Amino acid sequence: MATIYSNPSTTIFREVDNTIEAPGQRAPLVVGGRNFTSVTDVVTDVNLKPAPLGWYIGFACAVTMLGVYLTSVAYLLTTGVGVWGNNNSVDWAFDIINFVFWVGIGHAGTLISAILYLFRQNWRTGINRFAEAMTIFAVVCAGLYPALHIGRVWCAYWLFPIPNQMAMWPQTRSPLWWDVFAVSTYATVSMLFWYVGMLPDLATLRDRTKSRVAQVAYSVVSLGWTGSCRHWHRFERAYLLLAALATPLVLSVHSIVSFDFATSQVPGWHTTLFPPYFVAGAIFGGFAMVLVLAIPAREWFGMKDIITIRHIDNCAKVMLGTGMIVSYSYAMELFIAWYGGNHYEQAEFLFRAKDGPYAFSFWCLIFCNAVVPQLLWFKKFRLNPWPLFLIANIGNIGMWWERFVIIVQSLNRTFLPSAWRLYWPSYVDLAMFAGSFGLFFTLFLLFCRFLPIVAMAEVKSIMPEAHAHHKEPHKQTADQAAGDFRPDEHHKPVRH
Amino acid sequence: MTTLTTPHHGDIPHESNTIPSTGIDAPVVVGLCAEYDDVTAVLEAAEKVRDAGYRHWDVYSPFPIHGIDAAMGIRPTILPWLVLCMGLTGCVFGISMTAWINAFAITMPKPFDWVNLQGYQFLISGKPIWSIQANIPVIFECTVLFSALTAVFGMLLLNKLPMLYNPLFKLEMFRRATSDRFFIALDAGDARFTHEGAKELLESTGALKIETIED
Amino acid sequence: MINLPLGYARKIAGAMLLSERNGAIGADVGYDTFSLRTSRAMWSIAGAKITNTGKTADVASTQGHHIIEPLGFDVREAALGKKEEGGMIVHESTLAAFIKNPKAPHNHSEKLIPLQLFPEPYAHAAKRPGGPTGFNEPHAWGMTIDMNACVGCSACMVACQAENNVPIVGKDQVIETRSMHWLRIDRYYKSSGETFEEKLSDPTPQITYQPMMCVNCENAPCEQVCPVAATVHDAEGLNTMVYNRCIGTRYCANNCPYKVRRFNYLDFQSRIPGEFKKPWLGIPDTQQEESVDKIKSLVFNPEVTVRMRGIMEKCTYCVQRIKNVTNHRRIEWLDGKREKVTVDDFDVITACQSACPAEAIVFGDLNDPESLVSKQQSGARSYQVLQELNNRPRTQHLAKLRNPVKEPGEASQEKAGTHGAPTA
Repeated sequence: MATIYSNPSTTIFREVDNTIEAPGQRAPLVVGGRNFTSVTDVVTDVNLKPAPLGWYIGFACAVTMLGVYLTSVAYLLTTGVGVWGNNNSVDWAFDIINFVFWVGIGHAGTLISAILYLFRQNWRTGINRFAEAMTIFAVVCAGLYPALHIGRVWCAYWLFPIPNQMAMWPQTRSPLWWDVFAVSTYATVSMLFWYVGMLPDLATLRDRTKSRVAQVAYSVVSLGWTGSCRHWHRFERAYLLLAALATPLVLSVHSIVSFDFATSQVPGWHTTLFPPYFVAGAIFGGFAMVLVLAIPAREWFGMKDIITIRHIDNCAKVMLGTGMIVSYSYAMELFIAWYGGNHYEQAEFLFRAKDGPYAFSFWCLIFCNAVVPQLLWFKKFRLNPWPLFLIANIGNIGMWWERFVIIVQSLNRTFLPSAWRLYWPSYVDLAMFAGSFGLFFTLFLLFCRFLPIVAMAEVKSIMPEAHAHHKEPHKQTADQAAGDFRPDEHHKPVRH
Repeated sequence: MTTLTTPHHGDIPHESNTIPSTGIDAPVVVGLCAEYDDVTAVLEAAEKVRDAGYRHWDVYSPFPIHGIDAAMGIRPTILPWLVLCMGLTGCVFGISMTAWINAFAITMPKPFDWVNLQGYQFLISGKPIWSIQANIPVIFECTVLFSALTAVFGMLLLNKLPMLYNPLFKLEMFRRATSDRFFIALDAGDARFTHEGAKELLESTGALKIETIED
Repeated sequence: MINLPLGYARKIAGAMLLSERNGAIGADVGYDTFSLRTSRAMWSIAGAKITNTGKTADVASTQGHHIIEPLGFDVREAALGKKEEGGMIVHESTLAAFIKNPKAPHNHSEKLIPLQLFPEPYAHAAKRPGGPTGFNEPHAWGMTIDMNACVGCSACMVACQAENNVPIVGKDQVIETRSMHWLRIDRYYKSSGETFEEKLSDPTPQITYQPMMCVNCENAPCEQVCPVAATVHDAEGLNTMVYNRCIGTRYCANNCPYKVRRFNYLDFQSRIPGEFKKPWLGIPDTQQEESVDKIKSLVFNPEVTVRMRGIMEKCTYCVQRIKNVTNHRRIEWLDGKREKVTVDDFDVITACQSACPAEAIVFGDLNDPESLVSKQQSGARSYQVLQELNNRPRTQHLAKLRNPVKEPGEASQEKAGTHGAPTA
């Protein structure tokens, strides 16, 4: 239930549920009587007021985990991939599981900023900034894994087509090489998208901060943005173009990641279902992560008026929809294994669901990704942030198990029974995985502290008073505009 | 409203942007800035300024205002065409790069024999040396990368950013341009600009406040 | 009754005699059972008492992990077939069935469908101007492994290890299933009975040995996935491995259906087996130079690269031996001392082939129709393991034929032929 203050001066409160769909009316996406000024205030206060104690505690924890990560990486680099648990049958394990896991999480941000932008989903404005930040940090965590997983990390630059006198070139048929391009292009474009969208908000911080150091810093990064409408014109066009480019890009990235598996002939990998299945899974996992970050953030940073319950509700609906697509994919994989009649494929899926040493992981994933999300059919679960927080966490765990199932289960029993091997992670594997969360949260907490976590300019542009059609003699305030939303009186004509 | 320290400079109609300087420290009036607190007001004001025939002027707002392009008479940007061109370039780049590194075997003639255009021509899994199927992902990514870089850096270039110095930043009230206020600034370099005329025009639009921009 | 093996334990052995540092490998392995043996009872002790010490010991095995368990038994049975019948991977039959129908060993494999995404792959490549010298020129190397002849003695494994500088990884790494042998001898057991318990209690299980190393697929699945072209085909059909190009993505090993690629997870050559996985703080490429024992390095075959950590390795049909011979033959041919540039049959002998006491491994030029390997590959028993994947392996296995002893009264099959089956 979002509280709508019908008039702050008279302190009359009216509770309005902005998750109700009222025909002919737009549900307010900014509530609590916010106007331009107070939106700016609430967002910039996060950056300009002293950080709360909780931030320092969280940051200390994150940096400690980052230390664990860096220590494991140092041990890995100086000793060899043998510090992990991988073996000669399961050559990829935690490294690629975590790569795909993080890249998957990194899909929601660009989906929100690009695809929802093209579809004119205005609710994206409340969450797109930190979802994009989440994307970039997740891609950083992801990109490090394939770079570190190779045996000779110091030769990683051989993956890039750098002209050289020895005519050493990459091999273009390899899906790993496609990955190099897909992930680096995705990281670059996401970064550009994020930064360009942030320019006006960085200028806001520049204009509001009192500290000289911050002023200089924000001046430099905001490139002298003035808010000129001639600039806005090109800015909007560039943003639209980026959205149009990022939409196929975001779909292509996880498709290409899935080609790593789908173009190989390992039973359990070799399937044409993978690209859409991976993309849907990525969006499911990404939105789960958005909820995991958004639910505490709106509580702690006082953003409940901007990241309203409607935003949470919408994310939960996306999770439900994509969760159904992945559930369908799990079923379809099993069906095709049976229907396709390939002996090895059938065996692989028997092991996966019934006989194999890792069958528990398959049922883990079914529980987390197919069963638990069904709760989201009920509005009660979608609108209660903390149960939803739990469901989202379970979804993330399920997505990790999905990659475990695909990678370890398929590799541990391939064609020749003589090469069947078990895999168990070593403590370095576990430390690096835990540590990668340290890296992620370190970056994320720094972002929360120093960069605008809500796209203020975009939020303002979807507020009712951003449109010039209110021509009443007395100026209508945001409070009244929000107060206009009366879903219980649907059939009244809309006031202008 | 601040007092004008050198009001006479504003009265001189300037044919160009070259502003006569009276001394090293003396501020020069480079324009006039009006503040509004409402989208409707600034839109109507922009229409008036446009109709008055001004060319060097601008509206500043904390977010893109719907309909301001028409109100100001802004013509569509060429950015999409730049992006299209660079996207196609990226596509061609992707095709030629993959073809070069896996399929070319060009020996350069004598003076240029230090240029190595040898690619890898290996027998790989019984597959063709180069095929479109195997290279679509990379060609696509190159296309997107080139386009996206053009969209961003083209936008910055056309907007003449980064430009860290701007006389507008000297106005205290302009700090709210990125938060909750709207501004119209008329450039003294405009052929129609006279200090009095511009001020009259802005006052007629119902501006909350009008200040001189000095440099 | 408990059987104890004799002679598999060492108190002191191996390189310890040369250097104390590298001595760990042969010393203190296994359990000494000679102490139970007395001159009165050389082979058996009656009335011995067994007590539980409460101690546990890890058992390292290069294969057979969880083979003795019901999981996946149906799958294995499909792969191996029932007793005296062939399966998808192990082709075999009885001699009588083979004489009646020469295709009997292959009955249970899937039919080969010659479906090719890219038709005539190498013909196109060979005709390309400016490219490599062509394909299958002048030789087309191939190998056969006769599962009928193989006795599972592992001499080929040891020969390969010595020839190709294959590192010794130690017990701890074998437990982590990182053994490095390029050549392994897969043992498959079959027993009769309906249920798993019945199968386990079969007193006469049948054993099939299937030596397995890189089969040098023509459509090698490992090659297309390498992002740096560290594994490519050469003109004579070898699936080559370029060690100093490899960056160790391990994708090739994942995509290898035979699982014959071996990754250097640690710097095994400079590591003392069993010790803690020690970091190397210097430049990685100098690790071996600085830390491999100088005496140990005398053991290495100078013609084969000693691989560092982080790279993939595998069987390449002893490419160093091939090059040695073909280079000499080419020089002789250029000098006019030879009629042809190609080698004679048995000119090139791989390490495993030279060590095999049963002559189960034959290597040679498939371009030469008179070579033994050509004859064997066109024979009735020859088949490609996992041929349904259309990898077109250059190594073919020869199906196993059994001639089981029958109950008295049944016609003896001895007169039907000798032990060896006809090859052509």
